[in-house]
Parts: sequence; structure tokens; C-alpha cells
Amino acid sequence: MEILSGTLCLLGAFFFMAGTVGLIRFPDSLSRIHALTKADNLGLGFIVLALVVTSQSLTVAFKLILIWLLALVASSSICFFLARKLIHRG
Amino acid sequence: MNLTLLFDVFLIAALLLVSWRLLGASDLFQATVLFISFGLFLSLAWIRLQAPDIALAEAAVGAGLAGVLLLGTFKGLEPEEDREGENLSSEACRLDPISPCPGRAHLLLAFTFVGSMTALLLLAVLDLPAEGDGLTLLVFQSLDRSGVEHPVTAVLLNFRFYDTWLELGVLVAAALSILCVRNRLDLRELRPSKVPDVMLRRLVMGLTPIMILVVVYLLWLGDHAPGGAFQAGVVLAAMLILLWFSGHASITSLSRILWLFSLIAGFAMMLLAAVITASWPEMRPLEFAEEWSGAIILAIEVAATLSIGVVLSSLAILSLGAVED
Amino acid sequence: MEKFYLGVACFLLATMIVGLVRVFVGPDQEDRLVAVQLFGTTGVAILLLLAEAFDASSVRNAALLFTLLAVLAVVAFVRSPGSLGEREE
Repeated sequence: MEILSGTLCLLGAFFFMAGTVGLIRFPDSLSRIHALTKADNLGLGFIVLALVVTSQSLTVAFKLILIWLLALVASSSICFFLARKLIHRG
Repeated sequence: MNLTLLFDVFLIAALLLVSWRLLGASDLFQATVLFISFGLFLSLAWIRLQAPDIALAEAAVGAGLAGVLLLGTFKGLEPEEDREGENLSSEACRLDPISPCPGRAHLLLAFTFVGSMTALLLLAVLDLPAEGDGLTLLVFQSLDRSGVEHPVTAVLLNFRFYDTWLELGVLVAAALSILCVRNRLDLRELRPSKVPDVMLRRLVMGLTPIMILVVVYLLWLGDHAPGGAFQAGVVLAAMLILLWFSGHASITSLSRILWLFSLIAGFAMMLLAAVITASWPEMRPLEFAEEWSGAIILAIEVAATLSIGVVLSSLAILSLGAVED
Repeated sequence: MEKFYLGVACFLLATMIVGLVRVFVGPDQEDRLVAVQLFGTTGVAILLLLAEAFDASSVRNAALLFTLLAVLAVVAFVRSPGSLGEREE
């Protein structure tokens, strides 16, 4: 279980790193937004998953998953709002 | 190398870097955004300092509310595009180095002030006893008489009740002063952007029940764990602001009397508690009877949550809203 | 295992510091906000790892608050009246 958790954690960290690299390296705002959503959803998702498989109680696991779902909703709507504003501005 | 130490070093580096850029940024929007990330790093720092109550408050304020208020301020500071002339009045004293205030006297004044404050602070820190827990032991000894199980809540709402009371008074005063600045009597007719936004309406509709749940959860948590009226109030404020932005019914649709009532509910409740305890024959002012203190604290916390939520959301709405015509 | 979680948290904090570059250089206001949004999520991940490493459940509540209130600043940015955010043109 610990090996699984560790692997998932590393995967999550990799996606956060990829997100940061994308944020720095991508040429325009819209592709930077694209980089962000991948990192958000997968990075946090893997780390939450890693903590869920080792968590002792059901309530903790439930709270972790709730946080991830909320982050999914938040990041996708934020990126939608920002991208729409960018497009409308031309 | 010790990992905890490495984490702390990274955190301190991030805090210093952000605050340096924050103060040096010529673009006020960049400073606003940096302040939001500063709040995030600060919240991590409070966790490392083992102050989860403050970390929670910083998370709630720093993540959302400070950003909203600063964006409102930013909007107020930026010169209007359609204003006539050269915008001399608003450009003359901007915070950026592009158009500095005439003369350098204010810099000298600021450095003197900051220098003396730093010296005083250093003296105060050096003056602290090197060992000993301060009042911690006393708090834990009297905890079972306070009516709650969490020491921070016990201090805030029982042992140092008057501090919290006056803080709520400060919040009410802040709301009243921003009403004066905006030259308004209430929040009605203040509107966000006119363009309807279906996506945002749906999002807020989904988030609102979760936010209500979190408000109640934090309030309940304050009894025995980090949490309580202030954190719950901030989440309530965030919910009211989001409802307002998305065009749902929010505090702007309250009648003036109801709005004022919820503005002062927390302060008034504490005043009531003070008057009752002062006029009670065998009790000293602000001393709660043991068997009642739990109920009194809960009632005050509910009222304070309502007031904090309404005051903070009013501040944001007053600074961001415009009158539709 | 605690050590490992702490190590990952350190690494995430380092990515946040690197990501600060985007806030400094911009160029658009949206870019800066996107960077802060990434910090928010990274911060949540760090908080969750710290909660596990130090066995402190209240830290998870801080993470919950961060995710819940993440939309607020951006909504304020895109929804306030007037042409807020379009001044740079």
C-alpha cells in the first residue's frame, strides 16, 4: 500500500512540475491556461488518491475526495472565465 | 538534510521574495495578485508555527476576501479612462515610481517611523522571558469552566470576551465608514457587471449549499477544534459576495432595517450579554455562570458569524458595486 | 512515509517559487491570475501532505477553505462593473 501511495504521490508531483513548466514556457495566455488545468486536475488528483489509499478513516478519505471534486469545479470554471475574458478582448 | 528545515527555508525564501516584489511592483494589479499568493504562503507558515486557527482564518481571508477587496481598491485607484484632462489628481500620488510624489521628505519620515517601530519590536521580543508558557497553563486550568473545549475559543469568547466584542465594534465601524466614503445609506441598487452570466449562476447555485454546510461545520468545530465564528463568517461573506456577483438574491435585496440588524447583531448580542451579567446580582460584569456559558457562547457565535459575514460582504459590495442607471 | 510526504511537499513548494516568475513577468493580468490559481491548487496539495505528515486534521480544513474560496478572486476580476482588467490596452 505504501509503495502504491508513494508512486501516486510522485505522479502527482510530476504533473505539478509539468504544470509549472507549462506556465513558464508556453508562448501565449490561452495555452498557459491549458497547462494549468492539467496540473490542477491530475496533480491534485494523484496526490489525493495517494493519501486516500493510506488514510485510516473513511471520513478523512471522504473529505479528501470532496476537496478534489471542489478543486475540479473551481479550476475548470476559473479557466473558463479567464479564457472567455481573453477571447472577448481579442 | 532535515526535511522540515528545508521546507521552512523554502517557505521563508518564498515569503521574502513575494513581499519584496509586492512592495517593489510598479503595477498595482501585480501587487494585488502577489498579495493573494502572499496569503497562501503565510497560511502555510501559520501551519508550520502550529497555529491552525490563524491558518484557517488566513486561508479564508487570504484566498478569497483580500483579493476581492484589493481588486475593488485597485479599481478605485486606477484613473478612469473617460476622465478629462491629464488625470493629474489621481496620477500625482500613485504608489508606483513612475510618478513619485514631489520631494523626498515623506521617504525620510517613513524610514524613521519604520525604523523606530522595528527597534521597539526588537526590544519587546528581547524583553520576553526566555522560558515559560505565559498564560497557557492558566487557560488549560480554567478550560472546563469556560463552556467550550477548545482553548482558543475559550479565550476569545469567555476569558478575553471584551477584546472580541470591541473587534466586532471595529468591523461595524469599518462598514459605517465605507458607507460614508461611498456616500450611501444602504446596499440596495448596487449591481455587479450588467451582462448576465449563465455559467456563473449555475456554478454559484452548486457551490452555495456546500458553503452553507461549511459555515455550519466551522461554527460547530469552534467548540472543540480550530474553527469558529470568524472563519465561518468569512465563508458566509464569500457566499454572499458570490451570490451578488452572479445576480442571485443576496444582502442587496434585504430591506434597510434587516440589513442594519444583521450588521450589528453580533455586537448587540455581546452588549446584551454584558448588560445582563452586569445587572445580575451575584455576578461580575462579563462573567458567565458555568452552566450557562456554553449556551451563551453558542448564541453569541451564531450572531457574530452573521454579523461578520454581512459586514465583510458589504465592504466588498460597496467597493465593487456600481449604481445602475 | 511521513518523511516522504514532507519531501514531496518541499518539491511542490519549490515549483511554486519557480512559478512566481510568471506572476512577475505577466504580461497580461490574466497570466498573473492563472499563476496564482496554480499556486492555490499546489498549496492545497501541500496542505494535504502536511496534514498527513504531521497528523493534523485541522490542516485539511484549511485546504477545504482554499478550494472552496478559490473562485472568489477570479469572479471578482471578471464580473466587476466597468472595464476592470481592460485597462492595459
